[in-house]
Amino acid sequence: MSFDAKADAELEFDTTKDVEVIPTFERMGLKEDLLRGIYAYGYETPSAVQSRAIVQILKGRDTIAQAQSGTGKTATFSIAMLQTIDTKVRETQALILSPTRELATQIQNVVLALGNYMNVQCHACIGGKSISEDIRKLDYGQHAVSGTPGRVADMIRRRNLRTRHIKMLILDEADELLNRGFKDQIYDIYRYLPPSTQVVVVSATLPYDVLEMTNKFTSDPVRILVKRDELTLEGLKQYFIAVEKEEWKFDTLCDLYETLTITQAVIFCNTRNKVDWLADKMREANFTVASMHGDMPQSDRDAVMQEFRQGNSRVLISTDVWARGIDVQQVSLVINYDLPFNRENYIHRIGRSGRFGRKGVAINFVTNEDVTILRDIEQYYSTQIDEMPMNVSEMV
Amino acid sequence: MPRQFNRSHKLPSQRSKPRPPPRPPSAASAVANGKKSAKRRKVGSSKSSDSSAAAADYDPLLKRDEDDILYYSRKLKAKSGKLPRMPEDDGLDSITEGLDLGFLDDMFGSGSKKKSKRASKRAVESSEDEDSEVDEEASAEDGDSDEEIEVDLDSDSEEEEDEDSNDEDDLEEDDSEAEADEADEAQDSEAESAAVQPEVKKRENPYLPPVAATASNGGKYIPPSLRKKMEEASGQSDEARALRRQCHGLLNRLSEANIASIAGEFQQLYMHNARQSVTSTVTSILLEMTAQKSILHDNFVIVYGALVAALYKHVGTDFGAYFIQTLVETFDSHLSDPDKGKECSNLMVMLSQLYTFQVVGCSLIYDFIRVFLSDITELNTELLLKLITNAGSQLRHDDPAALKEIISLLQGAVKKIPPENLNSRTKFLIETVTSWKNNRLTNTSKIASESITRMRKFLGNIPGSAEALRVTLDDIRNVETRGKWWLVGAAWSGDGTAGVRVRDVDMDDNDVDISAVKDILDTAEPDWLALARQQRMNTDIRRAIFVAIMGSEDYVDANERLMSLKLKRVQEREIPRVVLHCCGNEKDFNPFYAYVSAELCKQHSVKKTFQFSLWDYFKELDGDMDEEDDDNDSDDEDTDLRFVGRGEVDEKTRRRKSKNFSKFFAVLVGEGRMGLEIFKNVNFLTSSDEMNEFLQIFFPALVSHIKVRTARQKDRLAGEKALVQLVVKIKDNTVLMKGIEYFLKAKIETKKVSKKSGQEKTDETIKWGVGIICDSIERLERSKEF
Repeated sequence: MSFDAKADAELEFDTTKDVEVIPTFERMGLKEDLLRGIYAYGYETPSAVQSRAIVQILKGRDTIAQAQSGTGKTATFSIAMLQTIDTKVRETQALILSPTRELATQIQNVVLALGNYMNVQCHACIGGKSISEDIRKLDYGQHAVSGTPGRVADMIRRRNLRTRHIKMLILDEADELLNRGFKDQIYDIYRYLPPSTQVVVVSATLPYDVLEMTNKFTSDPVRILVKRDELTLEGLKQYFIAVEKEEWKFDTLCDLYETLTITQAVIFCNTRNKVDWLADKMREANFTVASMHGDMPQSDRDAVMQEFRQGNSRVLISTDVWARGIDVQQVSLVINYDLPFNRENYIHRIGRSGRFGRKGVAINFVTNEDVTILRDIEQYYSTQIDEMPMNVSEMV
Repeated sequence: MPRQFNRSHKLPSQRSKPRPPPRPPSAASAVANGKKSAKRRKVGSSKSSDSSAAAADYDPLLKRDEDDILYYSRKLKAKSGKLPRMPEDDGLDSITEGLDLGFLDDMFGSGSKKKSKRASKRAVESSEDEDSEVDEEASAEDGDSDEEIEVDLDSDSEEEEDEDSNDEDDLEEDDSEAEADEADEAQDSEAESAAVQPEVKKRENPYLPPVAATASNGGKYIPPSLRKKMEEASGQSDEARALRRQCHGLLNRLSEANIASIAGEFQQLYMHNARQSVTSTVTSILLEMTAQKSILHDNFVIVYGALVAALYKHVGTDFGAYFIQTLVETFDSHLSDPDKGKECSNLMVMLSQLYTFQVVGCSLIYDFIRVFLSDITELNTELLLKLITNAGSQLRHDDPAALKEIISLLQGAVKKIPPENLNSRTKFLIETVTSWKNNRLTNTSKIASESITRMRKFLGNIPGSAEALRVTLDDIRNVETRGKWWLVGAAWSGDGTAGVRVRDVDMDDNDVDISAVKDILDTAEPDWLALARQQRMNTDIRRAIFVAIMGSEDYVDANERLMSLKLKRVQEREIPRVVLHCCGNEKDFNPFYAYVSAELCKQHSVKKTFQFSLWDYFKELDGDMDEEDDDNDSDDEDTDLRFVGRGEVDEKTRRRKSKNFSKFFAVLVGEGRMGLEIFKNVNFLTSSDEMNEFLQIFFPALVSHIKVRTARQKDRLAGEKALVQLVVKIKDNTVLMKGIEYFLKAKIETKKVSKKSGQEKTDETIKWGVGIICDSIERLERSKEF
């Protein structure tokens, strides 16, 4: 996709005027129980997107919210959703769709954690899990359902997920959902929803074509957007290392581990085979490594997530399946062992570190062939990727 | 630009690093171009507020040319302006002395190479002297960008003002960039003035509500101690650097799975290097890893703590003491800085893990609690919460009263503060602390506690013993004046305690209470174990049970503690033995044991064990202890039973024991936990004197217990009912019934006469009870005959 400056200038996808900023959670008029959940979750003050978007969603308007990775988008729509849900009615009132199973599970956990004090039922409706369990849970009645499009569409078609009471549809990582093979399934689901359903579209990256597409299913939406050149976080330092040759990448990686302070790191490769290869290689070097990709059975994927979240392993090697949304706060370093194929995923990948205001470092391994890709990314986001300095350890 | 400065002054290390060779020019220039154009765009966007030119419409070639010019002119100036000036400014010339600076090219890629090439080309063009002052030359070439650069170079403040005036309405601050800059500024404020400030466009900080953003803009301050260490680390000899790299690598790899092998590697390091240098390196890296700007996952800190404990065991006091000393010093330095709340909190978690792994004793923990309690702020409450959630279970284990005390003190302290001064987060934190009293564990701490158990197991496998360091906060803070507290002979002990006392008196009564509690705990804690040994509690399980029972507050607490031991079935049978042993050795009967046991008797196996123990005791009383007829008990029980009744030779002890036991079982029977069938193998006719003595105490005690128990009930006949029920339960055992009846009539009623008449009331009670029992037995027998 080439950058069409003219079209971009004409297109006024700008933040809607007069979006008020609410500087504290207290002033948002949230339920007491929800507020307790928010504090218990560890939030102190709302982030920029939270201070703007929550109230807008609560007003009932369709909302398109964009914010930098790790600035609390999930919590934004979760809080607004929990505020909207009537826990006395045991019917599905909100539907959250996200592109990966892990992300859907994570969202479910966030919703449950935030709603810890308000008796809310939230189910993760994802592929790779038992269908009968899904049916049982849904028949019991779930206030909110967080799922991946395929399984959710299936459940709706089977009429186990009753859509009559749904007030809110949330598309997390919307660009991914509307881009890939998900599009039809999303459309499928959308058809089943009541016409009055409020739509909330959320992502860190919302390219032009996606924004255009949102016009089709939102009406007069509030837009809270971030300019493309502000999309990379300032707290997140990006560096490249010119490793020149593919074979030298591994030595460089080991060397990094002897110079930096790394609590947890995510290493991205482009292919599943390479993930396995690198994981084996690092295990040989006495690293405790977890690795994950889409080819693995869901139970293994779950186990890996758990292991990594609990800190039992400090390195996670993965493909782009891990690029979006997943939140492990201790991750301070993202290594792009291979540069990503697509520009959006670069932002998402590096956004795995530096969560919610923490400092993070992204290091890109660049071979001679990769230089153009790196340059392209730099240019697209108007960001600066420096060669890695020696004293980077002070910044991690 | 500060980053560049850093880069250049760390160059030696850069060189030694095994890196891939410099890139070929093509790649480098491509990257450099990217960088440059990115910068260019930034310039454009920051300027756009006044000029608002549509930068996007440029002819790409033209634009690139402009970019080039701008970029190189800036780069040049930065270099030429700074390099010669830098060394004299900060006195760091010693570092670069005698080094050939050709590696600059390696460092900056061929960017700088290209740059110098270009520069010389330009010098030819303008036929000017290529010297350190290239600014003029650049300005001659490129009039457009020149102004801005001039500003950049001359002073940062001017540039910033310029920017401010442009984006005045934009209140948001660029947080992190500014922070990094300022951190460097602290290090080399002089070099800063010479460096070129990049145009930083003001941006919204997405983590803060845009309104409040103006308030917080504290630059990162590196405390001197850390800075010293950093400098040491970076400017040290090759050996030290290699050591640091090794430590770094090991610590980065450290996880629960491989802690054993990594601890082993550290032992190797200790063998091959100077001990103190390993110690200080490990300490500095570990603290750096711990004191992060975000809350660390508990698991990491647990593993770090376990490693420290392992090394403490292996290396000895030096390491542990040095680590704690540095930890507290770091904590103190962070505490004074309002932006370092999370670092403090992480360090507190670390400290509590060290306490959990018994590297440090509880006195230091209590000192910190006292400090936090003395001033209830949001941060202090948070730290208190951290300390209690992480060390709480250990504190509770050591002394549950202390924890309650802390919480009540906290509530007291909170009451003193007017509610408007408390924000809702503090309130929430306080609530969480309070809920700890009620033993509510969250999920996360369950995971953590599992991990702690595993780490304890690991530590237990390490040979060598290390006692927890008993150090107070005072000792650590006054290490300069009082000397190193961990060294024997450093003149410290006398002053130290005196100082603490004086301070306690000065403080308000809250604090005195805590210190009193602390004293109790300090003295009490080791005593239990010693006592346990004294009481011949020869296995770990017995000792644990002993401490659990003896250290408890009341019988409910004791039961909770016993439950928390999570004993296995076989192990559970140890409880009655320990209880009986303790009970028998008390000077006077203590109903506490009976009540503890009454709860326990809800479990069948425990009940049976009590019964067997009693029968065994009966055998002893009847003097046939060593006969072979106790073979119905299994072997292990047999040996264990002797544990209870062994070695009572002295007549006084024997009497005391007999009295205690009989009253003990009287309570158990009276509470309905056991029936009279416990006497089924007693021959009432031929019983020995000792046996008679036991029974003579038992029955009156039983009757009076039931009387007392039922006195409060509304039903007046409750006492009678209870007694009758006891009899009814044994109605099938005619021999036993008759035996009891005989005994009561023959021994108790006659005995009563001989007693002193001082206790009329008691006698009456006994008469009443015995009457009922005998009546009901007679009636039952009669009904049987028909």
